[in-house]
Amino acid sequence: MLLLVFCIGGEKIYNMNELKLINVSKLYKVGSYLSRTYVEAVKNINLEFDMNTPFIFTLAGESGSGKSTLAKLVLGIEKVTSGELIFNSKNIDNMEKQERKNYLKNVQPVFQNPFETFNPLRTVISYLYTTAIKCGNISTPGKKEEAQAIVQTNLDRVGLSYQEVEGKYPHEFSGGQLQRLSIARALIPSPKLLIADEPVSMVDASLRMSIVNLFKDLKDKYGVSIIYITHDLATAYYISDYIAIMLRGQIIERGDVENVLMRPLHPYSQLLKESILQPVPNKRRKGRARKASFEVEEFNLPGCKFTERCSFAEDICRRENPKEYYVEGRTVRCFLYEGEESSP
Amino acid sequence: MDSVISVKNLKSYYVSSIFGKKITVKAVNDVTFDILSDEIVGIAGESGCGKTTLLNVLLGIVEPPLRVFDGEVLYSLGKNGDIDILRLDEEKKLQLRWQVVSYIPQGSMNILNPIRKIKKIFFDFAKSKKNLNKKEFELLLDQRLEDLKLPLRVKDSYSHQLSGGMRQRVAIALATIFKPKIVVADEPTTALDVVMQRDIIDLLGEIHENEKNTMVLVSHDLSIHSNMSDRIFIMYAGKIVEIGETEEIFEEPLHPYTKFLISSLPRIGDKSLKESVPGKPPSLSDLPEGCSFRERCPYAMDICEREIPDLEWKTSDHAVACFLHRG
Repeated sequence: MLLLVFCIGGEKIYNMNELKLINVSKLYKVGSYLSRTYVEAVKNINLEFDMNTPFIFTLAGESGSGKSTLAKLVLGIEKVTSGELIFNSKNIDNMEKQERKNYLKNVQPVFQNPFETFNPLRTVISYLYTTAIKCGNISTPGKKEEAQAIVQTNLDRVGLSYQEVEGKYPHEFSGGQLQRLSIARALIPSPKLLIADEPVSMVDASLRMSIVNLFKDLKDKYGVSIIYITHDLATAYYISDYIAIMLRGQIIERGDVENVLMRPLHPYSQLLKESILQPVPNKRRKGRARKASFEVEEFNLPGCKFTERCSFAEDICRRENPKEYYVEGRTVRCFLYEGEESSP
Repeated sequence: MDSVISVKNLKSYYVSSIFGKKITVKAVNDVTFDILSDEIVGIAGESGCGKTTLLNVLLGIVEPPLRVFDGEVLYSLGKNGDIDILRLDEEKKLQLRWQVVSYIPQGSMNILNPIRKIKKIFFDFAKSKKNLNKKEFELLLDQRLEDLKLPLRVKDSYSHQLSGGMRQRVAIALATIFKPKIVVADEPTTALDVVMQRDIIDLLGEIHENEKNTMVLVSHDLSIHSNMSDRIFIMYAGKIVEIGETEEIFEEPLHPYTKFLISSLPRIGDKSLKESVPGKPPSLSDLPEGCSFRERCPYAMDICEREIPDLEWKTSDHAVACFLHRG
């Protein structure tokens, strides 16, 4: 009995604001009844987030690597096929309605295309009010002054004024402003974690850094943790603390951003880093275009999914999926580093 | 080098009226430049600064509400002398298009008909342009796919079976199948991930090298221009504010706007604070008096409020439109 009390008490203290993904997988069906195949969009992901110390965590990878699917699983938009998603030591699939609502308040999305986020026929501010009334901490529901105060503070946080926004429709804003508004909306339920899926790829290059800087501010000033999903490693390096690189549903390299991006070990991470178009004209490299390959075929490879494109590929890579090895301050999923492990 | 396209004092506005109120959007506002043969020109600028409109006028695609108010676009194609594309009749324009001038529009990876095989799409396209029998056409197609490093199986696929990058390659193959002299590409790499971006850039570079054509590349992303373009035109609010060789634009930008664009680019290995351009671009239907950048410019002077700076050549290949560099 004593032990039981200790356990419950202990969990309450140590597991607050912790999100755990244990062996999370997601299968999608492809094709009709006769020719049905499955694509494992996300495969055996193990991640742990402690939101008590704010962080920015980047999920990087090319399109079709499963980064957005993973985000949808965490946001509760899609259900996991196998594995567990645990928030404050409770599986989110087994949560009761109120608990689930509380979880969803804590995990808020920022979507890719700010122009499609808002209904063109509604004023943008009405979204903020609805969110404030439904999810903000308002004493008597529907109290307008309190809602307005919440909306105002959150607009302040993203660097917009109430007067600028009031009564305007989405087409009257620039992409950068809309993305700020989208972030302001996400901040209203005072979340612990923002999940930003390619938040700057549709924003103009000249305004891109202002949004990226805003994420940095949110972490430093307001203690909001961020999962930043992107294929752009340059901005990832600029803002994030940790990074995980995904390939066809698996995390193949994960660790400190400084370690991973300055010296990537997995051949795929190296490819990603080389692909970045560095804004340095005299380093201009006349590359040869590579041969294109079919995407679905890579998903169904039995071994490492990078074999077809990897210049180090050996027989074992075609047969077996590599385990995670701990090398030089990060985990790598590649046979090249078998036997080179160091202790964490 | 000779110029292939020369644009003189081009003014092209969108004119419409809403509830009897006339609205003029000055998308291309007095622009003059030359594009030389066998070079890659990059046009950079924010969204809504008139890049795409400029391309459309260059190609002679002028449909209401867009109207050309002044200026000319001359093509020098060798044997026929100069052609003014804006005063050419529709039929002759169609003859030029795809065979001499080719256009890869924005979002061109979505042009493929989802219920036709790629081969059929190519065949429909080629048949409408040239008299080819099936055998000649197949030969041409195989050759083109080979050139663009596409597996031949692509021919028998539908567009949904291809990834975004592959569809973009197919669209490029389609646009350049007759090896045009001038290729115009509008944001060819947006909506693609980094690996595909690099592939498309390498591919366009290869086409340029092998076929010695002239390319006009529009993108808001300066890192694409740094890897691709020979010269860069910086566009702001319907005007070209700086022209220079790529190295010079990156190492010695003159216009304050260009300076902001260059210094805000993130690089791996550099964690210092990067600031975006402050403020927001002016509306093209309601331009402020004087220099249109002055409201966002940290160096704005009195004269900037009164006069509009002209594009002046500082050296033989570097021009800027800013009072800071006058005289």
